[in-house]
Amino acid sequence: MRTISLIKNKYIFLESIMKSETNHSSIIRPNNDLFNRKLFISKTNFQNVCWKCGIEQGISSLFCDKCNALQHPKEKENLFKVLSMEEDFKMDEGALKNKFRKMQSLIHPDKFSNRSSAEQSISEEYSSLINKAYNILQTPLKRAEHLLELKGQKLDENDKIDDPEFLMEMMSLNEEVEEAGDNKQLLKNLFEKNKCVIDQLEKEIEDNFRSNSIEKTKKNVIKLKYFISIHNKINKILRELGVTD
Amino acid sequence: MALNITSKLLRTMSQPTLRVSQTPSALYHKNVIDHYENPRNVGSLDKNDDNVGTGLVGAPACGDVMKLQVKVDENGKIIDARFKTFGCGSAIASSSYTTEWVKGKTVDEALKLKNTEIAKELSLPPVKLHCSMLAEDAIKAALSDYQIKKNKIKKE
Repeated sequence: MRTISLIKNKYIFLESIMKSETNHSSIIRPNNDLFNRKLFISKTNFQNVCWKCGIEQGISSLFCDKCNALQHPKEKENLFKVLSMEEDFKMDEGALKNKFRKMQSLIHPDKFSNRSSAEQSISEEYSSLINKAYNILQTPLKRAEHLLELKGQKLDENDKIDDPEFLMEMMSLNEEVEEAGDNKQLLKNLFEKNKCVIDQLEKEIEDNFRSNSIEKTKKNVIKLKYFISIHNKINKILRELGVTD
Repeated sequence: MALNITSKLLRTMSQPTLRVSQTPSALYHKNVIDHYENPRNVGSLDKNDDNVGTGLVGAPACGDVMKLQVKVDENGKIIDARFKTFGCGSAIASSSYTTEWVKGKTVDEALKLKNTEIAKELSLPPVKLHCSMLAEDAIKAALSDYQIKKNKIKKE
């Protein structure tokens, strides 16, 4: 508590200097900038204090600089931020995997068996958050849906499709899969054809996000959802037939 | 006693596949399973027939697609209904139930079908309510398709 008030005092102190400085001539301007920066840092850090020792924290630090206690996740909603990845549909999956493994190697509950129960429970919460983030960011469809959600365009279960042609296409595609029965070659062909459509759609979605055309993105993500559902369906049949590749 | 519980626990843990395969029957109501396992009126009617109305709807959030068709006689009575649904068990059960329900009703009566009625009959849980809404949309789309066809013929 004392530390918090100390930081608060420092902040007020800086602010008072700032105010007095603004009245001075331009010669002091460079200094002013310095104060501005300091003020910014102390202001943001003010909200990020260690739950255990009360010392201020860096924005992205996982552990307290002083007492080394694991900190609560600062971001829970934006899963890109959770894994400090760029908020984009295009994703370097190797980099994502590395980031995930690196963070998990620091945060996994196994590393905290000798620590306090408070830290153990933070580690459990944090670790499962990272798992969730990785699972979503690694899958293009889920990643796209999450990005849409962050932009306030969450796909709703009451959403309707007013594209009869597309629905017709999905109907006949589903029928084709059904009619293929247990014909492995036919199923494999359908699978490959479907995979091409999925790859193409993912490229389009990448462009849509880049050009920020939300309506188009949403339409394509919905389409992707249908093709992925067919993809999974064929995959399931093939696995049941013992085709593994 | 403790040993008994532990061994029971271990047994259930060592049979994950068995547990997974048993889950659906525990989650779905028996009416859903009945319609899912013995779906009524699966198939298609000739969509170019003037007496047939076709409704095709989809639920983007699940990737489901549902086709519902009705055949109406000259007195405005629904004499046949068919469906084809690619989706979850609840979506299939909802459309199966809907085709049964509309048979023998007039077009006007059938327009009154509410999704809540479907959900109630099948005891759908809240997360599956949208499946019944999909079925309601499908029957409305089919009836409207039929009415549009009839109005066109009248004008000609």
